[in-house]
Amino acid sequence: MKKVVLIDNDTSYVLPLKSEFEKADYEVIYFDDSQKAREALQHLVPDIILCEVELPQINGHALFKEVRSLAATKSVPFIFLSGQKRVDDRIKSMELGVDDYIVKPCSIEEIMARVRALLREISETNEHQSQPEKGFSGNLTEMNLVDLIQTLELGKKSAVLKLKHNTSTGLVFLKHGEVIDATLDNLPPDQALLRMFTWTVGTFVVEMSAIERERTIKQSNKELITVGLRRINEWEQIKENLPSLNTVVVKTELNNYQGLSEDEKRLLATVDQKSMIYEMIQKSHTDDIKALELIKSLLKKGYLKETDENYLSYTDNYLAQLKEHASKSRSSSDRVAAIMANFFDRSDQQQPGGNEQPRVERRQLPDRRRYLRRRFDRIRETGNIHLTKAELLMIRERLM
Amino acid sequence: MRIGEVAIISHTLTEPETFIRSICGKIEVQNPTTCFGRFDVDDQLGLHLYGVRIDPESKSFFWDIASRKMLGYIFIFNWDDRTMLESIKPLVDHFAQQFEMPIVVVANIADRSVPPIPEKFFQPNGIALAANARFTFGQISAPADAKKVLVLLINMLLERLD
Repeated sequence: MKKVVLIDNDTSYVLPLKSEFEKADYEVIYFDDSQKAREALQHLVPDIILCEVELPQINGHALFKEVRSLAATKSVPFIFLSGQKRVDDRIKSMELGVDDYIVKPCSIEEIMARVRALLREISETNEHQSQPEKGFSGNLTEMNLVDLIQTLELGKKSAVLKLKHNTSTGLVFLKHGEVIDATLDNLPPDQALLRMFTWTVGTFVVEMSAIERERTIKQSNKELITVGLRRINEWEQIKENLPSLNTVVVKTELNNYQGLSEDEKRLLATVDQKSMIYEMIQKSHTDDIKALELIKSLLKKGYLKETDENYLSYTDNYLAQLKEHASKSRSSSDRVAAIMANFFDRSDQQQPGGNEQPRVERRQLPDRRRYLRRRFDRIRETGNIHLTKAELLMIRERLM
Repeated sequence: MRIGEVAIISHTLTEPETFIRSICGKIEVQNPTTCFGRFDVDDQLGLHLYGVRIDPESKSFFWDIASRKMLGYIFIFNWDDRTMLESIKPLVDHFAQQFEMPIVVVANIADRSVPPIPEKFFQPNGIALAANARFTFGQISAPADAKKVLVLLINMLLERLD
């Protein structure tokens, strides 16, 4: 799934665009504040960035320069959105090196088409260039993180390693051959690195560039490599006899948890009916290897079982994701999450617009509801919802 | 002048007040249990927004407002405050069963980045909780988000009229 970053404080314009991108299977990360976007882009590597030029705090030009100065995002395609129709403004933007410039208002279809064209162009260029301009790329099965660190250490190279595994992208920064920092989701650098050591499936790109960032990883490469090798070994051993990490597993009907350890119970609690194995690992509060051991044990004991479900359809399920988010949110209390889950359980049982219980004929409705129904019909018939459709449309237009 | 009325309901008056201020710019009238704001489209058409604090223990203005013919009801709770949600949940259930007018339940997030709520959860059409109730996230102090909530409510009304 392609990741799009949208930066614009004009929500009325951007939200429909965001919605269209989501419908087209893009993952959209939206910021209405350029300062927050700047902070996020320190750790985020999207496939494309669309940014309004005129923004409070940091304008689009400044943000673009900053994005280009970061090793991880310097080659991410960047499109300016602007209400400015002046040619000189457009020329100025293009001279900065931006990939495209779209004058607003512009149809959503045109924006989508331009994004698709740009991504296709970049993809074709990448295919023709077997290696990046300054660096190299490959498959983690052939060269894992330990191998990459060892290789770069030998040449005392400064580089950014971009590692892709399933839907996750991690970055490892090396300065003069030494690992100094790593980012992956919201994990602390050392944990991010530990997780990436176990990635033996996926791709990597090494981009040689000067690295100017604070050192957050204090261990020497030797120490890291020792830990990394041990983890790969342990990981591979546990993974034996386990299905693919993309496999969707479901909770079984076993509900006697007395024989389970506290860690197993806790991990099982993160599964809201179903989950992918690698998601369970990401959600677990334990170390990855420990989590994998626990999953293996839960499968063996029969508390989890594999399904044939396509994980893409599973991940597209909005409600399932929100439930997961609610259940793992550390800041929200468990109680809030539980109550929210009740709300969602109800919505799970019905389609939007449907009723909680099977629809009954109007004459069978209880008195109170029949009265209300009659009242609603009357409102509808007379166009007196207090406001007519045209009036509602006028209010909506004013609000948008 | 044609007027539509919407009730904004919460455990305290702070949230309705913030919401109304985000939409209308100012609060016209305020007392300990209610506040009121006006959103004029022109001199012939407008919305009246009533902010009400839940006070189910007494015969309060809340029930007076609730029993009037509103265009719809907006319930607000703070995403991190379980007390607020607990107090709102039964009312949402009750309203969803007893009233046919649209209900929007808003999980207010003071800061979108803490705790981080992925952008994909900010769905413009909300999530159906019941036939006439939808859930959405929003930062009600941000006018754009508050307007989005009101637009959601209006869209629900328009769906009925279509």
